[in-house]
Amino acid sequence: MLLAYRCALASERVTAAAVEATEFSAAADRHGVVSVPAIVANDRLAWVGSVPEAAFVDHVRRVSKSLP
Amino acid sequence: MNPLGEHERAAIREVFAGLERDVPILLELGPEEAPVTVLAGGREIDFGDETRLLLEQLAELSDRIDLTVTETENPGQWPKTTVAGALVYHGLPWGYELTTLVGAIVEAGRAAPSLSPASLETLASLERDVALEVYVTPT
Repeated sequence: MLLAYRCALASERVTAAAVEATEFSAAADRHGVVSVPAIVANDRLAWVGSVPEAAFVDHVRRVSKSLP
Repeated sequence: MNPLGEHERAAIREVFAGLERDVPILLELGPEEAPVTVLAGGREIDFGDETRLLLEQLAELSDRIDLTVTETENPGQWPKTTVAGALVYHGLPWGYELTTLVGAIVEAGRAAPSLSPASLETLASLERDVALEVYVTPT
């Protein structure tokens, strides 16, 4: 989660929110979240699990390049 | 419930002593999807009340932290905590996720970004906006 926050602080193009999956289970179900951490990017489940900083930022870069 | 014990307060106060910038925190409360949850053992927990109490205790640990609490009748993912206008947490940051909230405050209180130069370069080149939601649980 902290990597998402760091990205949001570093770039105006990135926003970051943590969502407590048990409190907001309807949203978690809608995105197909079955384990955590699960990262939803631009309303789509993008990847699951903790990754190192370089991989995390590369995921963000690829999401930014993909068409909406 | 007392969210923070003396030992935790002392540890967090020490961490917050390193804040280099003021950190505003906004807590928004509103109608919750599950207003009261019964935990194992039968104890009831109100996520909004618990979050308010936790944030009030955190704000007492540093003069750099300024807490504002608002309430709304509109539906939404409440409680919602926003650190420094940018870092959002939906829900009660309890258990392991207390570390996430404390980490958000620490990151927002830094004078300089903590990412590597390579990461900053990549982020500076993003072509479109990216909205990240990280689903977490307290354990």
